[in-house]
Amino acid sequence: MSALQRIRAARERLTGQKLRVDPLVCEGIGQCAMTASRLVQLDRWGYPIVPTEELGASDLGPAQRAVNSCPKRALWLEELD
Amino acid sequence: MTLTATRVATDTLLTGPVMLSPSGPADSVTASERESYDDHVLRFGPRPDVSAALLADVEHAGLLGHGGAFVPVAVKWRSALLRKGPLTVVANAAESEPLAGKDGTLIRQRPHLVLDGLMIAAQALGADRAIIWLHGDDYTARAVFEEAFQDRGWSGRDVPIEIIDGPVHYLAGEAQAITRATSGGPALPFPRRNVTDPRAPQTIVQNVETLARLAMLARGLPNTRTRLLTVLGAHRMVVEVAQSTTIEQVLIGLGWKVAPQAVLLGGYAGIWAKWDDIASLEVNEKKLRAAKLTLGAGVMVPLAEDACGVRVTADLVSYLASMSARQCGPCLFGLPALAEHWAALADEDGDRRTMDRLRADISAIEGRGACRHPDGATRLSTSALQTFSAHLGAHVSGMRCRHRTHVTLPGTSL
Repeated sequence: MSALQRIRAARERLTGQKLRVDPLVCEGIGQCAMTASRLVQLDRWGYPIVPTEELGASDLGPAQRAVNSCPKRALWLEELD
Repeated sequence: MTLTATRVATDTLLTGPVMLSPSGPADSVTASERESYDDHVLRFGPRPDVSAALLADVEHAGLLGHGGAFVPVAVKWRSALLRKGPLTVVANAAESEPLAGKDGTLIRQRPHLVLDGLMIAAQALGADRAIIWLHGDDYTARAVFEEAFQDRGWSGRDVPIEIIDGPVHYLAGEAQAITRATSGGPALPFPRRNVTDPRAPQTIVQNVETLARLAMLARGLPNTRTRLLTVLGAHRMVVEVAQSTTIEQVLIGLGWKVAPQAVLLGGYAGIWAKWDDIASLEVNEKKLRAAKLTLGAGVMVPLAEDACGVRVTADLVSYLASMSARQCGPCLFGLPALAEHWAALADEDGDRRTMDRLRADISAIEGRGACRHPDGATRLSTSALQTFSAHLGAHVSGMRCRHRTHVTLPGTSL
C-alpha cells in the first residue's frame, strides 16, 4: 500500500460530519459523556468537550447516541460544507 | 462656506485628535469640531448612488471591518447578496471595549460620513432596514445623530434609519448579540449556526469606522491610509495616524518621554507585548497580524516600568469574568477560575502549581463559548504569562514584587 493509498483509505473513513454542542443550552448534565465516553470528555465544571475535528466512521454511532442521550437537546451532528 | 471646510484633507476620518474622559462614552474634554451637513457635502460631494456592483470595488480595495476582528467587508456582502431573505444593515456604534473611544469620536466629529456609509451599504445590498446601534448611555451620540437627521431635512416617517439604544454591557456590541436584539430577542451572544434556508431573515453588522471608510471608497477617495487609535496614558487620547507610523512614534507623538515595559494591545480583552518586541512595528494591522499581534479596535495601553503587570492582568481577567453574559458553562465557571489563579499569583499566594493550573484551565476553556468572550480572557492570560514570565518567576518564588506603583485601569477595580 503506497502512502497515497493509505491517506486515501484514512480519508474514506471520514463521515463529513461534526459533533457540536450548543453551550447556551447545555446545562452540564453529563449524559453525553456517559453515553460516549471515548468521544466526549467533561471539563472540571462538568461541561462537555467534544472533538473539534471531523468524525471518523467508527465514531458516528457513539456520536449519534450522545446526541440522542441529551435531555436538553444541546448536541447535534452538523454536515461540513 | 467656512474656512474649515476646505482646510482638512479628504483622506482623514477625524477632524482632529481629542482627549477623552478616562472611560465611558467618548465625550471629549477638549474642543472637538463637528462637521455640519453643508460642510460635509462641500468636502466630499453628495452621496453617490450605488448598486451591488460596489462589491467589486470593496473587494479590490480590500476594505476590512474595523470593529476589531478585521473580517473583509466583501466576505459579509457576498454571503448577504447570495441570500433572498429580508436584510437588515446595522451601523455598530456600541464600542464596548472600556477604553476604546475612536468610534464615538468619529460619530461626534463626522456623523454624516457614517450616515452616508450606512446608506451606501443599505443601497448596495438592497437592505430592507438600516439601524444605528448605540450603547444606551451614549446620550451624546444619539443627540448627534438626531441633529444630523434634522440637518438632512429628515423628519417623522421619512427618516430612513432607526436608532436603537442597546444595553450598557461589555457584550452589547457583539455582532450576534446585535443580530438577536434587532430581531426582537435579548442583546446576548448566540452561537453561529449554518443557515440552510435562503429566505431566512439576515443581519449584517458593520462598525461605524468601516462605514465611514466605505463612504470614502464609494466616492473613489483613499480610505486605508490611516488608522484610528485610542491610547491611555496620563489621559485617554484618540488620534489618527498614518498606517506606516510605528508604535514608538505614536507614543512619542503623544508626549511619552520614557519607554514603557510593555503595552496592552487591543484593550482589556487584548494581548500584552514587551516594549522591545513591538516598539518598531507599524500600526498597520496586516503587518501586526504577520507578527501574530493585533491592535483589535485600535486600543493601546502602555504599562510603566515600575508597574506590576501581574497585578494589572489579575484586575483585567477579573473584569472580563464579571462581564460574562453568564450563558455558557465554560465562560461562567472558567473565567472566574482564571481570575482566581491570577489573583493568587498577584497576591504572591501562588506557586508553580498555580501557573500549571492556570495553563490547564486556559486550554480547557478556549473556543468553547457561544461567542469569543472567553477566548479574549484566555488570549490575554497566555500573552501575560509570556510577557511577564520573568516577573512571574519572582511572584511564585517568594521574592517580593519590587513594583510598588499600583496601576488600576479605569473600571477594573471591583
